[in-house]
Amino acid sequence: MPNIKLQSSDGEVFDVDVDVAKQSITIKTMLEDLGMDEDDDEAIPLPNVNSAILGKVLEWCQFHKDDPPPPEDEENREKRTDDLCGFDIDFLKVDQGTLFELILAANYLDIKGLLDASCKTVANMIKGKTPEEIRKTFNIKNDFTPAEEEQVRKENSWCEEK
Amino acid sequence: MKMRIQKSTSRKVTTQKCSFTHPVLRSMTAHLSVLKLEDLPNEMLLHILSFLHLPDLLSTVQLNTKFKQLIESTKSLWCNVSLAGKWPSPENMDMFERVAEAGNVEAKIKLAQAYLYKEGVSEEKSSQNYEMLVGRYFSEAENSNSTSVPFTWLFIRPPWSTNGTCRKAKTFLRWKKQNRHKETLNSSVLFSMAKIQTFLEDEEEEQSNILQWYQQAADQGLAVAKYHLWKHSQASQPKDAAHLLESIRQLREIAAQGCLESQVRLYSEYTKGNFGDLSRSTVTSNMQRFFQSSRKGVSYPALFNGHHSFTNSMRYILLDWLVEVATLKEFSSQTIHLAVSCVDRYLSVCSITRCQLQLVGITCMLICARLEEDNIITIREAAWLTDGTYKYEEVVRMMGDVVATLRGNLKQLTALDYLELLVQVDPVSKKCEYVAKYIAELSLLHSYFGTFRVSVIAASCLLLARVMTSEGCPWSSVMTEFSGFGLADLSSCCLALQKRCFEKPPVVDHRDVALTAVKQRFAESNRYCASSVPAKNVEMLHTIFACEDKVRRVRRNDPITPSHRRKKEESFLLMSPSRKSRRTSRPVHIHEDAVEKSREEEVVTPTHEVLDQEGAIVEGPGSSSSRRAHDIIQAGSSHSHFENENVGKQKSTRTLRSGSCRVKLQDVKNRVVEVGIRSSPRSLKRKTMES
Repeated sequence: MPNIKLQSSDGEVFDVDVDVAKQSITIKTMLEDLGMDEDDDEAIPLPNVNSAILGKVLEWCQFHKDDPPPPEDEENREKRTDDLCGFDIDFLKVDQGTLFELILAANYLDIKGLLDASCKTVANMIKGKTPEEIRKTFNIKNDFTPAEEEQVRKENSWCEEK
Repeated sequence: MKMRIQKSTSRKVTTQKCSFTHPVLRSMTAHLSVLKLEDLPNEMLLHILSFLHLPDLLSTVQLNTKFKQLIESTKSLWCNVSLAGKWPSPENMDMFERVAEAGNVEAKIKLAQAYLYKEGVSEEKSSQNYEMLVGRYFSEAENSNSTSVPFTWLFIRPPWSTNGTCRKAKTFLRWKKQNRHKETLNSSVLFSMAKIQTFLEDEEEEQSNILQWYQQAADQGLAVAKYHLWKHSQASQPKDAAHLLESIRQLREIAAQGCLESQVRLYSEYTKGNFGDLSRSTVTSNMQRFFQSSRKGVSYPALFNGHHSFTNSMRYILLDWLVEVATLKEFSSQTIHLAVSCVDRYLSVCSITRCQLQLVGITCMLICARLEEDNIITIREAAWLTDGTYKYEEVVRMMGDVVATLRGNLKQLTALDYLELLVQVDPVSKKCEYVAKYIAELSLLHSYFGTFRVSVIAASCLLLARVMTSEGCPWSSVMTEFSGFGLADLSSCCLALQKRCFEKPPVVDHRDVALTAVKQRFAESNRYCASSVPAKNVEMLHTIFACEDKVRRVRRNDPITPSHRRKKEESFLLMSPSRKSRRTSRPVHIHEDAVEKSREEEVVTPTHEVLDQEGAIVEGPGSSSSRRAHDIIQAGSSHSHFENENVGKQKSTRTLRSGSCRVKLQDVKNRVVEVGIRSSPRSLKRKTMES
């Protein structure tokens, strides 16, 4: 398999298998637009992804390179967040900063599988928590006045059946 | 939600020198501080929020001004938020109404069902005009129903109680009144009215309403209503060539609008040689496309992900019981196929507890019986069939939950639909047909077959049936011409069917006779004693596929090197079990042009290897690890099983009450704990109640 070079924002060059890199629709489209044949040794610049994150992303792509393409039909609305595979669960056990950067990178590189997995991981961190607990988890500042907060709480609390 | 913000940019890139940046992504390159959740662009925050269920979404509204504004202003979040497992109650009614207002189909269906059955809604509030609310919510739900197959009539259809207070009857009468007063009704409502009227034994004049309502619905563009009108017109039409040509042309038009029933009918006409004005080659290529675009079932990795307490054998036991119920109620096999598809699709979307499994099963059977049969299971009867394990209210709620979660998309093409077409292409004896149906029904019990397209399963069942009943050539060229499937496309599914349905002892033979409901069902004489036809030796299949294999092996021009294989195995071993099973369930290549390609790309496993190895049937590279993968899955599930069940090293047999007789169930590997579902219709207990 031919390899291509990818250059991160901080100048590091990654030599990767084309099939691995092509999970990124962004890279795939670029390769198609550029034409694969003129394979000069120049690296494809990815100015929005630093080397640490790009390394992680490529590790994910390497593992998932044999995945079947995601089903297209809308019935598979992936609403479930408990269906992450073991590799993804471990792979995404990272600090929040890295997790969010992975989301940005997955979005920029257009890798749906990684985007969904990382967003589901964040969703799982939200699930079942009270607003205060969520604020604490993500270090979110509460800018409501007490009166506003009370109002919002009243309007948006879910009452389980008794 | 489309999140391809960079796509357009990258498309414009013409030289490698061109660099591109996106404003929201600068923070990544700048790397000044650690990124926080709030720093993510709205698009991505919304993507995260789209995975939340309603209660969690409501919590995030309360975080701060930014979240509140973002979430409240994004209608699509409310429209698509999942309400799985939630039911309207006086306390949360406001919420349900709010999301229903935003266009949420699930909320609308559940509210309609809640008012219809007075389930969960408080008396004072609903004392106003129930049937108006029921009618309104169903009508609104149908408005946002994307499948174009109305479902409202399932809920409203008779039998109605005769005491005059039946809300189903009242809702129907209200619609009728509205229609008389020339109020505009939704096409799906009109269709439902017509459908309901067909179940009412009224005078002749009332019957004319049916056509009128179908006509009104058809005028609004509802394809399925047009199809019903078409069917009706067929009865009265002369059978000369000119009329036939015209009616095929009309049918083709309706089928093009996406109505499943009319598509099946159209292809059925094709198989009878009624091509209309089309040439044979156009017809066959259309048929081939139809067969090859068939849906796949839900494969077991997806099915059991998140349901780690479920095992394949639990699913088997559940479905076996459902077959028994269907036989008892004299339901058709089509109903069983649809119900199984509903169960699988519901489980792949919803996380439920194990003790609800049987509830899901009986409810799906109840829904699909209403869809297919004249005779139905009532809700009370459904509760009774589970030996009172579930209450009436639970069934009502689950019914709403299933239809809401599947968003009314209940009708699917099943293996039987395809089988019927194939049988018409190259007619076989009734006996052979029933053997094929028997195999198709057996295949339902094994979630493994979710990895195949249902059309492939249908074709393979027929092929196997022809071999078993020794009917001529197992796969004639005319079959290939119409279905597009050659022997090579069916070999893996066929061998898997032979192995799992007839040879493999664990699920059928190691268990008690009580778990052979399908076999019993097809032992009846009205089904031509199909299950008594002995399975052929697998050697026979080998002979049939042998020549094909040789061709494949010759074409194997890219063999895997030993080191490559080892590497594959290593990485395979490092994977989680669920991941591995995903590996093994590679889709079958059935597109004709893809077949050629796949033969070259994939190293094909010779058939004798296939039979040695469980789960390796669809596989090329890495197949030697698949058996282990399967073992791990099994072991993994049994492990979690014990953990969850708290039964530890329990006795390996369990005696269960079964009506008058007592049934002993023995598990494959001396694990019997998954018998959460019991063997006879009247005698099922929830696991919890037993332990």
